[in-house]
Amino acid sequence: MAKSNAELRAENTLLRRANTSIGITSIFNNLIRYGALVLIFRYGYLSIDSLSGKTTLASVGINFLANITVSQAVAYILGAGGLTYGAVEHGLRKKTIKRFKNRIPKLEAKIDSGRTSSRLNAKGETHPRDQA
Amino acid sequence: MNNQVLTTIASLISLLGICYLFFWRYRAFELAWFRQDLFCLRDELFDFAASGKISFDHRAYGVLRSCMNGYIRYGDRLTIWHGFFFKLCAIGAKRPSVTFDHVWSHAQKGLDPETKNELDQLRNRMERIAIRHVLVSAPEGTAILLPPLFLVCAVAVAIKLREAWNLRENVSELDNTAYLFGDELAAA
Repeated sequence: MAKSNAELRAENTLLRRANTSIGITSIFNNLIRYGALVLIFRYGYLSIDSLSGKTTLASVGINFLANITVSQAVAYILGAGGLTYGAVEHGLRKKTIKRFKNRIPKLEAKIDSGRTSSRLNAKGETHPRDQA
Repeated sequence: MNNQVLTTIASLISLLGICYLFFWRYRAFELAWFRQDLFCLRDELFDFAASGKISFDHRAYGVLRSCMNGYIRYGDRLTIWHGFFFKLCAIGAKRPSVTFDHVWSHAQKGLDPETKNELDQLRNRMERIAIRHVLVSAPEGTAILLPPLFLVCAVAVAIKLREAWNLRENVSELDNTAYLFGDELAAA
């Protein structure tokens, strides 16, 4: 289906605007990410400053972070977040292995009919009957 | 005093870790998850064609695959922030009259109802994966943008400034963009 000139021009305009919006979003995303880091480092700097006696821990943000309960809660969130991330990432890896495990043997068997297998299970784990 | 400072530093280190998890690791994971689901779907489309139900040369197969390829390649540019800024940038731009819906229905002409139905199901699943990705790839964006957006839309509908928000229309726009980019890939 051949596209008309006007059609191609409209597509081109839309693609160019999409590219502009991608640039803006990229800047915006980096502002959020690195802005958060800058804020954390600023508070770090202020707390070290107070250690040397130059400033006090009077700032509301620093006082909040100096609370032992808050500090523990943040540490628990980090720990739980890290564990969850590790578990779901592991699950995704298994899913990827499963996808390849179904397709690669089929395709390779077309080239090498005598292809042998490691006989791991579909998720790439030790087969139950091979377990010690 | 010293204990207070040490507690603050411990909190900041934890916050740094949470930032890294949230802004870097989570986003990379979510993108990998999105792509993995689309790879599986594309494999299903391939198997569907390999089973002989549709030819690999058929236009409907090519169109759907191109759209999936567009989503897979540019999935990193498909967050709610991208949608928001794209909407702003595209204000006043003339939309191509040939949309993905148009191309899709044209490509499906002549197919038997069963094949058509199966292809439509694959398309619906692709769209569901894309919507999920848009909503969860940048959760802070969803939390910030969606509630006021719904409120503004509800007010606009209530005072009859516009018709009710059409999800189908917005999803089709996602498909249009993915197909445009995927089609570019096929042409390259």
